Amino acid sequence: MDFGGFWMKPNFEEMSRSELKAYVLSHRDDDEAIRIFFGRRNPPDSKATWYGPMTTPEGLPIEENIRIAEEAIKQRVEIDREKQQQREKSQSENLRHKLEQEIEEKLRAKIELEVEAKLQQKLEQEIEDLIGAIAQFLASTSGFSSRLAGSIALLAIRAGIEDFGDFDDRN
Amino acid sequence: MFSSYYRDIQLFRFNARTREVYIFVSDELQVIVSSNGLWRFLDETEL
Repeated sequence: MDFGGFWMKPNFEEMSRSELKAYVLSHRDDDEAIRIFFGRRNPPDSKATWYGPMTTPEGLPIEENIRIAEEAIKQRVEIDREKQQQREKSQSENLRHKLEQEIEEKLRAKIELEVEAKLQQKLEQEIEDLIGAIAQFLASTSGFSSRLAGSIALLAIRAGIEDFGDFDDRN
Repeated sequence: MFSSYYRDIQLFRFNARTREVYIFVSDELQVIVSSNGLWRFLDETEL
């Protein structure tokens, strides 16, 4: 962590095992982090399974211990591979799920736009019909030419004139 | 032995104070070798 030019080491004690693991792998020269990482033993040394040395103090191989070690490591490596495959599988599933979601969201937005455009079109058609009807009414009752009646109807609708056509009541 | 199972060793360190060797092979596989040659896995619960 960098605070105004001062390098501050993260608090390793507070890190989770996987956080510390990731830190160690990206800071391989940080002996303190490595020491703390390898200090978190499960179970503690007194309860752990200890495997025998693979050589004598003189450096001669102890075949039986080597065989046991190979078997134990092989088992571990297989588990390691399985876990890695599981991780990769779940990562790809997550990715697929995310992609599906994104596609759905994009498609939904497109569908919404199309529906909106259609509604708009319908509304425009209805307004046009309404103007036509008002114009027809004006032309038949007032003697305005149909062109003038159409313009008045349009103006009336645009201005939102209320009680349009209540001439008789007022007079 | 690790590399024969197609696993790279990520990190290898000797702790001079405890005289232990730390071997970081992979995500689930870390080993501690004590000065007497006995060794253990860092985390046994992952088995």
